[in-house]
Amino acid sequence: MHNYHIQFIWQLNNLLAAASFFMSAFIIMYAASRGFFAKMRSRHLVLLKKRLESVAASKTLTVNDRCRLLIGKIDPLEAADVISNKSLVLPQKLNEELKACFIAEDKIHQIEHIALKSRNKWRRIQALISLGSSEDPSILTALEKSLLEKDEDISYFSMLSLGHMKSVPAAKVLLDFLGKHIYSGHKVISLLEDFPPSIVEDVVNTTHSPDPFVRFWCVKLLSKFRPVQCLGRIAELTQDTSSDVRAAACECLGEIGLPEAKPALAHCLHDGVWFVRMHAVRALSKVSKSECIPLCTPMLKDSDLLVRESARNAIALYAPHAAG
Amino acid sequence: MPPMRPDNLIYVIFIICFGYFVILNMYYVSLTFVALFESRRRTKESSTEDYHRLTVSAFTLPVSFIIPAHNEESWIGDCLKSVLRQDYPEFEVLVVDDHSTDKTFQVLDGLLKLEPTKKDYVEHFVCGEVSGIFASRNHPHVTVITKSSGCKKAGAINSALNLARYKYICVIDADTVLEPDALIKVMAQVQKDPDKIIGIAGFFGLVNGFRIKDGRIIERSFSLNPVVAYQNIEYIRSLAAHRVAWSKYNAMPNVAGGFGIWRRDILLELGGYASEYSSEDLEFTFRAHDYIIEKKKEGYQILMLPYLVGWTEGPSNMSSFIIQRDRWQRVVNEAVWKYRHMILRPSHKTIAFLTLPYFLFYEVLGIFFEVAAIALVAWGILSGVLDLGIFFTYIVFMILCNAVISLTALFIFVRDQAVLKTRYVIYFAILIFLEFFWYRWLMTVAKLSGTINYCKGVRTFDKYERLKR
Repeated sequence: MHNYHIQFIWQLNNLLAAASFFMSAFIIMYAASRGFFAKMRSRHLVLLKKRLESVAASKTLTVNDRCRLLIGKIDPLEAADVISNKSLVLPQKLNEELKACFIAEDKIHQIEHIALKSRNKWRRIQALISLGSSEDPSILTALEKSLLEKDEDISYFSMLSLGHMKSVPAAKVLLDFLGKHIYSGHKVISLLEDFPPSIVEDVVNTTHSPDPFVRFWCVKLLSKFRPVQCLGRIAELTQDTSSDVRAAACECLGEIGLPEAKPALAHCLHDGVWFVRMHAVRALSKVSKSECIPLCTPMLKDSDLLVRESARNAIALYAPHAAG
Repeated sequence: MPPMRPDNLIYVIFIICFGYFVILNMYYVSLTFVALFESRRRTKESSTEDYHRLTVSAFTLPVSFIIPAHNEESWIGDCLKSVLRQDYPEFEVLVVDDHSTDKTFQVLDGLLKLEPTKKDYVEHFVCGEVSGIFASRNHPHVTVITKSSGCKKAGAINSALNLARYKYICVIDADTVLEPDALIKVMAQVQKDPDKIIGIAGFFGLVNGFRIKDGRIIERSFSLNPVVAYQNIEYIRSLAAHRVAWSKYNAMPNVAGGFGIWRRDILLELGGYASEYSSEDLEFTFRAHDYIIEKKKEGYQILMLPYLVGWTEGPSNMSSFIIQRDRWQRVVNEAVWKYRHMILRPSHKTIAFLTLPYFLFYEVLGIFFEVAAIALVAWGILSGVLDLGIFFTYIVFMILCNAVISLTALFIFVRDQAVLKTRYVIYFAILIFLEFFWYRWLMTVAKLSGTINYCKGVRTFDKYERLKR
């Protein structure tokens, strides 16, 4: 054997032994101290909550003084955490007051600064989430800017943050973002479903997009809002060039449930794509109730199994003996 | 040419084995280093995610759970209860009683109040004989399928796939107890891009020693039994470090059967799980990579998340351990042999260059290096050629290299998953230094047994005996 290697290996061994023993000690200390710091943090948060509640309950202070006292007790990032109800769940009224104070005292821009300029990505994200939770319209531009950043985490959490705002301008930004195909339609639309019905007009306008993906998801979103006033436009979409959009439009008409949709749905029963016919049958059973039977009966002989099954189910709802 | 002198021959074999060891450890160091950052990123991402919105959204993707169960009377109740307790807006559960001879069906009946049902059953996937389909009276979204024969665990899963309605299929083992937020945490990732993500897995550890009541984990008291503790260390090293790193480069080799989610269209296109292998999960993951790349579908992803999704039972004695690892070794050999065409093929990118060569050189051929090294040492000692001082130096080097890598993986786990109490961390850290003296040998025996059985053509799904609870 070649002994000249051995000294080198021994030196490596010494190095590795030192590294492994240091690492063991570090991991054990880390595990032991984490519990301690978690306890300290939760104690701090409980105290903070008590102090905030006592200031908010004070009847002797003016609104401005209360604001100053509320904000003075927490640093911007902690405030960011508090506003977004992440680590400390405050009573809704107090949370609202805190948000209002932040906007009134212009402190929200400190958080905005962190959201845009901090070098720590996760601090930025924490601040971005809080910006959305504040629902302050002035920070929309900041969120819109970070939405298009290359870092996918920043972009993703800016999108979630916009979802917290629940305003028409935020909805417009999200609907534009939908067309960029960066995140799935499921994700973007799930953020918009909680928005107030005032966004419906913008959603309907977006159904004129040349992109079938955007049209499809807008129709899916409209199914949640069930806007009676948009029946005409949705009926038009049952003639869309994309079969996905046609199927979604049929589904949406079924959700709205008005008999005026019957002609458009009846037309879709002759569609060349099986799932459009299937959704048309299902929607017809919702909009025209028992009157759907004559229209659905021929569909029992459809070439597709699922269309036949939907027709059978639809007929069985109103005439069980006729379903076969 | 003069014959090689014995000490020269030993030196050549030594250089080959030592070179193999150094390359392997450098590979592990690189993977662990990548996982150090990737796991952190995923954990931060998870702690910032808005799960509440997903639990109430009508647009959250629904999931079909599949639980294949063969003689699982002691675990199926807790497993099912933990699934039913998932904080998720829409899912169905398909339990397959796969020809059980114990009281698995009676336990299910007691829990679910079963009654025969006439569901449209179309056999898209080969699965053996289905003897009955039962609906639950108290949980309408649960269906039980009973099978009377055939096609191993793969067939049991396939029979449930024939009934599954939703786009994503979550397969879990019947001895797995899920965390209540397991599904929402994993599906939150899928929801970001369901067109790309075709498969996804999460971290699970061993449930042995835990106190469980009604599918809920009451106390996470990790077993101090060294067989179990070493497996926990191995799971941490493999799942929380290596697979997370492979996943970053889309080179994930295995969506494990303990908890894995697949997109249904991929399962359909691939004809479901294959029953001709000793186990189904590794082969299917390789097949999915191969299929998608051959089809030139761009931008697909198979992910491993470091989030703790659940706990599964592991073997608690040496003979059970060898039975399980023998099967794992066989399936590795089977899958690597079947997909050998992918190795170093430029079109297959990272899976071809990062994962499969590792599987070939370590998981398949590693046992030959290990046996060669042991034979070399034995021969060296018997013939008096081996200097024990040098031998000791290299053994210490190997132990310390392994310790540094395992400790880094342990740190990743301790940092990102707050489940290990300090006393378990101390215990695991001590065990890591002693791994070479016992567990490594056990692994070598299991791998050797698996390799021999593979060569003999054994393809059975051997189950080790469950502990009575």
